[in-house]
Formats: sequence, C-alpha cells, structure tokens
Amino acid sequence: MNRPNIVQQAVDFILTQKIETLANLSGAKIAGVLGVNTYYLAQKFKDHQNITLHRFILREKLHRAAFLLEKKQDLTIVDLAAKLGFSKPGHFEMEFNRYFAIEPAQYRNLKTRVI
Amino acid sequence: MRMTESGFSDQVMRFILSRDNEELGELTMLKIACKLNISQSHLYHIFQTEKKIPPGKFLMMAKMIRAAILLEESAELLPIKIISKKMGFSSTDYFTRIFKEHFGTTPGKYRDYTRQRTMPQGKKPDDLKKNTGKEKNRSKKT
Repeated sequence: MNRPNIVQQAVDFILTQKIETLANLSGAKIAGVLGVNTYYLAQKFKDHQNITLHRFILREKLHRAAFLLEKKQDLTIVDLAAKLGFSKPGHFEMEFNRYFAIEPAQYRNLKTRVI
Repeated sequence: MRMTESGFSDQVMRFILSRDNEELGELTMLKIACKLNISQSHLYHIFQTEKKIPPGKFLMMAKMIRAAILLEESAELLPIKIISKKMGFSSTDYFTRIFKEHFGTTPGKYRDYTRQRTMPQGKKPDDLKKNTGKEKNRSKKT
C-alpha cells in the first residue's frame, strides 16, 4: 500500500462525508473502511499532514460549523453542537474558540453589520 | 477611535465577519487599520494580545470559509481562478496553497467532495473523478 495514498484516501473520505456521518466519525472507522490498522493510519496521517487524524476530523467539523453559522441564522448553538456530534455544547464552544479565536455565538453575532 | 462596550478586537472581527463576499475580498489589514483609524502595528498588537492570534490569520480564515462556501454553492461552477480573485488573491497558486493548508485538499478537489456529499447513495466517487483531470494537474504544482 502506497503510504501517502492511504493518507489521501482518509482525507477524501472525511471531506466527502455528510454532517450526519461526520458527526460520528472516528479514526478507527476510517481505518476499517480503508482496510488498514488504526494505529498505522494515525501514524501515517500525522507524518504526511502535520496534524493528527483526530484533530483533522475535529477541524473539519468546525469548518462545517462555520458554514452553518454563515448560512443558517436560526440554528441554536446547542443544536449545532449536537448535529456535529459533540456530547457537550461547552466542549464544542471551546474547540470552536480555540480554532477561530471566537465563540460560535459571537461569530454569529458579529456577522450582523452595525453601520 | 471610539471604544465601545465590546472590545477593540471584537470591532475588528465584526468589521471582517459582516462584510459581503465582494467587500471581504477587497479587505486587507491595511484597510482595516485605516478604517479604524489606528496604525497597522498597533492593531496587530492589540488583537494579538486579546485574541492570541494575529489579525491577518483571522482575516485569512474568514476568507477561506467564504471561499469554501462559494466552491460548494456556485451552481454554474465558478472557476477557481475567479473565486481566488473574488477573495482578493492575485495568484491562484497562492490561493490554492492557503486553501490546502486550511482544508487539507485543493479547491478543485474540495468542490468535487462537496458534490459527493449530496449525491444519492449508490453513486461511486469514481464517477466524478473523470471530470477533474484538469484540476488534478493544477494541484500537483503546489
């Protein structure tokens, strides 16, 4: 198995998932689908992407969260967290803040133009 | 400049997040600094201190999010070159590189992936690959 190729396949797999399946995605599941060992995949992923597989999945969830905040003004933060598979809204808010340097509610709030 | 109850960094963030696509594309740190009547280095220091990231990085992230949405939503397949220009990049290669850093793949592939997300079950990803030969060649350059 070509090593960078398995990493690319993992990236492809993650990015093609709908939110519903992305929410419950894990490194073990991806390894299962691709037919490789979980630890092997995790190691290769980190070597080639400079980010852990776990973190990459999380980051993709946060991207999707930002898309939804940009598009859907009616979704609550609690609903959004649940939709993306976070068991606690607080955990989602913390991770979002860590990545974008802004809390999700504030992100939505600041999208509103004041003159 | 006037300080309001929301901090200075929040004003910068609002200034960025509340732009429409055209305005966001034209935005640079220099323009934000001018608009808020503050020097670029002063702006950098306040923002970095309050938010722990450089303001330019926040601006870039905002542009990348909008670019990804444009890739997903432009029904008549807006060329990557145009999206890159719209977001204020003078070079498509530079845009592609920054995009890949954020999303792990090139804008062209990313567009294909977002289309696969909405595909009915049973369709194989390979069905799409035939149409992406041109984009793949481009991505190799980065």
